[in-house]
Amino acid sequence: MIIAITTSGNTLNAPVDQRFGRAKGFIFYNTENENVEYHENTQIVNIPQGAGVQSGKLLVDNNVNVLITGHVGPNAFNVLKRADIKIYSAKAGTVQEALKNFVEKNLEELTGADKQGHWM
Amino acid sequence: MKEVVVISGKGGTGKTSLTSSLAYYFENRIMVDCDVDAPDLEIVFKPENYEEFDFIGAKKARINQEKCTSCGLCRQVCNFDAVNLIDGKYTIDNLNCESCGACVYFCPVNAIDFEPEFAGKYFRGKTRFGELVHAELEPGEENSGKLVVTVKKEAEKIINQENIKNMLSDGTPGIGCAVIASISGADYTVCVTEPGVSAIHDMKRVLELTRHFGIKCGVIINKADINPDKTLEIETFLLKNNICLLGKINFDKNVINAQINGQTIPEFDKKSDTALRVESIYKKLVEELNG
Amino acid sequence: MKIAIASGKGGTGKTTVAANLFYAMKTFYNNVVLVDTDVEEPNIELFFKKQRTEETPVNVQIPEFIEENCTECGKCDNICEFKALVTIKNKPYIIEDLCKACGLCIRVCPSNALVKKDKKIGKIIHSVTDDNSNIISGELEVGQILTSTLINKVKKHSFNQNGKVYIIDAPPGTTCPAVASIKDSDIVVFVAEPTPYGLKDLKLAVKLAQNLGKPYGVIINKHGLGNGDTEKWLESENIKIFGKIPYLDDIALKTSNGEILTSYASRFVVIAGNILREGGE
Repeated sequence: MIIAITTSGNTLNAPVDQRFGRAKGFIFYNTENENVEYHENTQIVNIPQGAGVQSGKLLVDNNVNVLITGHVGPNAFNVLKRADIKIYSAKAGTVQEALKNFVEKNLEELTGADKQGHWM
Repeated sequence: MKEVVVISGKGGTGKTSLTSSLAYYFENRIMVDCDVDAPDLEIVFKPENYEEFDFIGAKKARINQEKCTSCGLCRQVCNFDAVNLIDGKYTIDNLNCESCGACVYFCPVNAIDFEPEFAGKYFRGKTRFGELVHAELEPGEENSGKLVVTVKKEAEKIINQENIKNMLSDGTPGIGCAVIASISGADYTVCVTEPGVSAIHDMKRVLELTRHFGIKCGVIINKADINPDKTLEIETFLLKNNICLLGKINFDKNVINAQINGQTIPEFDKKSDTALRVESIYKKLVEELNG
Repeated sequence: MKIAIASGKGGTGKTTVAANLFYAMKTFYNNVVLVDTDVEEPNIELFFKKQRTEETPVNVQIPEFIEENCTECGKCDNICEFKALVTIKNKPYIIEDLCKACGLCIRVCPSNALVKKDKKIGKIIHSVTDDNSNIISGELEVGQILTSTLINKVKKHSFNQNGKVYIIDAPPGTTCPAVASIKDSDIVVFVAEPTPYGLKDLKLAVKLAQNLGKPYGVIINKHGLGNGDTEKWLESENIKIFGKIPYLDDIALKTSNGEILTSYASRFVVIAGNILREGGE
């Protein structure tokens, strides 16, 4: 499967970015071949809600199955739900740590949007 | 990093004067002029611009008359009355055009060019108060919201590079897309108002906007002494609605004199009543940010 | 004749000037219509006692997704310039607040999976004053972004009133809301304040009027505040000054209470005359 993790850096040692829509970037980790890909979040969208949806689309277009991030707003949540992408919450720590926690089933699944539309 | 955006609803209440003066008290700060329509922070801060960028705005639709067969389909599909028919010739009215691309999509002979065009510039500048990111939209252009987001993203790059703790933005009057783009992602908005019917009406609308987007807001009543009854009206409203009153400042001609001198209020006279009130507002703001 | 009252900087006194000029114009003409196109923060109504008021909601048509009609043809993919519609697994997902109601996606869908739905963006408020004058304002819903669309609807409604003179209270600035407000006017009157910020923004505003090819002139408001740089610049550029209004505590107080400056009525009549003359009346 492909796991997307929001990050403020661009390596596995970088911290997890708590934001989804406005995350600095995403790391896509393929569990089958251990491939690591980084995507910078270059979108420029005026309105708060737009960012989450665009990020959602990026994940869908890259066949992501799981998202690990801090928070997700309602619009983004709807998009991810529509695309059957499961969302897990990772508070602090690095991308590597988040992946480890996910594999060890230590991360909480987000079953609803937990932040208002645009939060930073 | 804490992001504070100063807005007002009504123009002319003193956003820029207060943003620049509050900046005096913040340590480790970056300033951002989100009022890309009428940016004024540069007057007080005279930035040495060390990097300049072109802002590419919306795509502009233009009919290539050599390819056009005058079928009129473009006019039929335009929802904005932006396709004119004059003397049998179809042209696009760029003032009405919203850059949606409908005419481009439907033109059977591909006669409409649709390219993004230069719409303004944005800059990184060094000032005596640290970095200032500012921009200027060409008069008549649209997409100010996009330029605001661009300017904020540029500021974010500097914040990450230099580990800056405080981002202070000067906003725009109104409640439209530029204001929404300015307050997006902010930790706190400071609404500057004054005691008058227009300002109160507009303040209420902009407070509704911050509530709509779930962003904490505090209010400064500027020029409070020009109408004590209205000041009381504002104070009562804020109390009833559980909105923080950050402070009150009286009308002071020296605010303009400081502007003329190219100084912030505390630089002009740190011990003036106005400067002391700004300092007290700063302290209250920090409390709110940490609370 | 359509007279737009505009400015670069906010808070220079457009609404105050528009409201007072309204009375002044009525000494010249019978049918004067006051229009407030500052739809984000409309204020002109606050200055008048109204006999009656009628509010009309303003709607645009945005897309609604009818899932059972969707054939996943993908025609709507990447079609929206505003990113208000994105496709998730070949089906459209709509972000209503980003939609500019251009109708493109609705036109493009071959299977009626995207249909028109009304979305309220604001309202038009049409008031009649005690002396039977018409005041028309637009008010944008908080959180909506279709400012220019609403302004165009307000103007359309207003210009149907058969006014002899229209005074248009425009929003501040030089970007699309200001442009939408002033582009049909016969003359633009910039209200300026003689401060450094005021002068900087006035220069941008004048550039806009020049780009639009509109005759224009300036009223210096809050004269006495600030310095003489604004006046010097206007004189050096040969820009017509229609009049000056002093900065006085009693003017500030009256305006803050939403009162018309009756003791300055004659000054506004002179200013009105100057504007009419420059506008070719």
